[in-house]
Amino acid sequence: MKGRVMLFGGLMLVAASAGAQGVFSFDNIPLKGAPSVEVNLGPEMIRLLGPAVPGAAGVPGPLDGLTNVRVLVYEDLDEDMQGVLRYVESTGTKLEGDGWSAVVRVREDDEQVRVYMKPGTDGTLAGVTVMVTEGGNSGEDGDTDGGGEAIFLNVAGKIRPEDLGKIAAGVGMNGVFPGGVPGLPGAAPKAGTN
Amino acid sequence: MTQKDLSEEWAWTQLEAWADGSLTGESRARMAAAIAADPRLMAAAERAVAVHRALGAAEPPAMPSGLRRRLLAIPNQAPRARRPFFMPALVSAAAAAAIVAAALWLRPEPAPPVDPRVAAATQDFETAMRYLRKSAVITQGHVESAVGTGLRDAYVVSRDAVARQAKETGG
Repeated sequence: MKGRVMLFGGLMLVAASAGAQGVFSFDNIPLKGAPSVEVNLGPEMIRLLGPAVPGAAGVPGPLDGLTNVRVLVYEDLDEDMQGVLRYVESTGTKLEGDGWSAVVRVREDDEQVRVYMKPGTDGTLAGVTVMVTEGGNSGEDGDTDGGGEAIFLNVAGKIRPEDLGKIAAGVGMNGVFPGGVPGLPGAAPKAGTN
Repeated sequence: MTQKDLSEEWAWTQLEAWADGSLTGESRARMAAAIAADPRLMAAAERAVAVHRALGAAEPPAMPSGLRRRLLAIPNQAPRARRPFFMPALVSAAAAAAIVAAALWLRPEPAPPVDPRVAAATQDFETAMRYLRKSAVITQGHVESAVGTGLRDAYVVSRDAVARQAKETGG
C-alpha cells in the first residue's frame, strides 16, 4: 500500500482494579483540525454494553473488565503528516518510559504501525495502544491527492486478549452484539421470555 | 391571498377579543391600526363593544322568593333509585375490568424502550473494534516479544475471521 499513513493511537482497556494505568489519552496531538472519528467510552458507557455480550455460565463476559476505549482518526493530513510522525515517535518513547512494551513496529513505504501493550495481572493486559499512519495516495505527477490518515486507538482495563480478538473479529460479520442490543429493534429476546 | 387580505382576515377574527379587552400589547396595536384603516371593521368593532357593554351592564335576574326553600324540600330518592341498579352496574364494571385485564394480559409484551445511551455506546464500540481489526490486518505477523503473545493470539483470531468472511462472501 503506497503513500498512505495511518496512526492508530489508542485501544485502552483498564480493569477497575488496575485503575487508569492502561489509559493513554493522546493529548497534544499536533493537529489543528478536529478528528473525523472520535470515540471516547468510559466505564459507565461500557457497563451499559456488558449485558449485550454475556459470557458463558461462570465465565466473565468479553467486555467485563474493560473500562476505557478511545479512538481518534484524522484524515487529509498531507501538510501535517511530518508533525504527526514526530508525535508518534515521541509518544512511543514516552510509552516505553512508562512501562509499556512495543510489540509491533511496522514501517513499509510511508506506512507506520506501532502497537504498545502494558501488562496487567493474571495474564491480562492493562492497556493496548495502537498508532497507525498512512500517507495519501500519490498521483501520476507525483503530487499527493490527499487522504493521509492518522489513527490512534487506546483500550484500557483488565484485558483478556483472546476476548478482545473475538470481539474485534465479530465486527462486520454478525456484529459485536450478535443478539442485538437490548432495547433496540432486532434484539434477541432475553432467555426465559417468550 | 395577499398580505393585506391575511391581515384583514386576522382582524375580523379578533373582534370579540378587542371588544372584551382581552387583546393586549402588540396585537391590540395591530388591531387598532386595522380598525382605523377599514370603516366596515370599525363599525363592527363599535357594535361588538356596545354589545359587550350591554351584557356587562345588565343585572342578573332576581331569584324567585321561596325557590331555594322548595328545592331543599325535594325528598332525596337517589339511594332507592340506585339500589336496583347498583348490583348490575357492579357486575358490568367487574366484567369490563376483567376484559381489560385479559386484553392486557394477552397483549404482546411491548418492546422495551430504547436507551439512546446504549445505542450510542454500541455504535462507538463497534467503530473502535473496526479500527482494532484493521490494525490486526495491517500488522500481519509483525507482533514481537513474549509480551505480545496474547495480542498476537487476538490478532490471529481477527485475521482468521477476516479470511473466513472473505471466503464466505467470495471476496
